[in-house]
Amino acid sequence: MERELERAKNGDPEAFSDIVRSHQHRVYNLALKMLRDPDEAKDATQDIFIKIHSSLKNFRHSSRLPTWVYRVATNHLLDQLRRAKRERTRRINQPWKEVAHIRNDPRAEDPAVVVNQEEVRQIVREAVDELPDLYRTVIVLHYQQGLSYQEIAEILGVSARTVGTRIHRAKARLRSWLDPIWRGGKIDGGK
Amino acid sequence: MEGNKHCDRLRPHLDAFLNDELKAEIREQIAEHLDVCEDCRKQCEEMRFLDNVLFSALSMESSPPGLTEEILRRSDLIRENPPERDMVRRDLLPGMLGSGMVSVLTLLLGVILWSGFLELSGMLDPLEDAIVPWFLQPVAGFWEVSPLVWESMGAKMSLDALGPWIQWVASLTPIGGVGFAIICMLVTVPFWWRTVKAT
Ligand SMILES: [Zn+2]
Repeated sequence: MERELERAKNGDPEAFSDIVRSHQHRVYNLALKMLRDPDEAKDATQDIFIKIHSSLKNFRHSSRLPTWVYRVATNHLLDQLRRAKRERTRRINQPWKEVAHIRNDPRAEDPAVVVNQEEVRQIVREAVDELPDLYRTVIVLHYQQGLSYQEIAEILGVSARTVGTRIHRAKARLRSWLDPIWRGGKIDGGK
Repeated sequence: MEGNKHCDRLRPHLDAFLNDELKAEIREQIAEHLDVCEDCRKQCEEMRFLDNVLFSALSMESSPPGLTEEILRRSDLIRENPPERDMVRRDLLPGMLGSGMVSVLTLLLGVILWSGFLELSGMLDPLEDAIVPWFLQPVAGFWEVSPLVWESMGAKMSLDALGPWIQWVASLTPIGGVGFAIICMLVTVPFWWRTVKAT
């Protein structure tokens, strides 16, 4: 890994392509969840790796390569979202509210079964899409990319405690959105 | 109730608890509290449910075919035709020029003050011929401020009035000026260094 990195820094195309191959899947998925559009995510992934390619020689070994890749990626994506927000006004309606037609409070049933219901997952995905960018970032880094609070903290340049607080607030917001749906579903279902 | 105070304190940590991201001390506190508090236990269950849904809902998709190849094609293009860069990073220029100028000015000020002081105190006179090489003798006077100027500014009078102690301290101030100039230069060097590296 280290040798590969050194070779990539010295401009070895083969070593760089190894880096792309081993990271593009994660970067693309992060971009997809952050930007919520497959085409934009694809373009952003390319731009992120071009950025990595051109700044590879500035990479210092104070952080691990994956951490650095994530850092370049999140900075790029948050930047892009900030710029996009300036250009167009944000959607105001929350479409996931309309999709909500779960028959029962899913938590009342066997959780293992419920979690795998595509319907439930879809609603949660759409709710995550509606989170503010900073909250969505930590949620995606933790639940999709499987990173620890400490790793996320290094990527975002904040303390692990701050990451914990953001995840807590993001989840509190998700629950405040999802609870009425799940509760409401129960009443409508009449079970 | 003894529960409420603990509930308020511990609840913000529940999801870190579920993710096993807490220090042992507070983790144990929560575990003990969950044994006795039905409300927090319920909240914990809901959190765990949300956790599981989130993990499962946010699973990764396969990335579009050809993405790697497209990235490598673009990076090859850049390698073959590297973009032209400015010789000097424009965004760093004001900082560099600013601190460079401050360095030069302080250095000048230090030299002028120092030579003026030495001139006034007469310390330089016997040394002048020895310090300044013969080929610089004709211009040696240029960078010195004439003693007359210092005297007209009242410098000698105040120096004499202050006594030898203060004179000695005063002779150190230009050294402080030089030190300040060195600090300014140290500030400038990283700017230049970044520019050199960026180009
Ligand atoms: Zn409690």
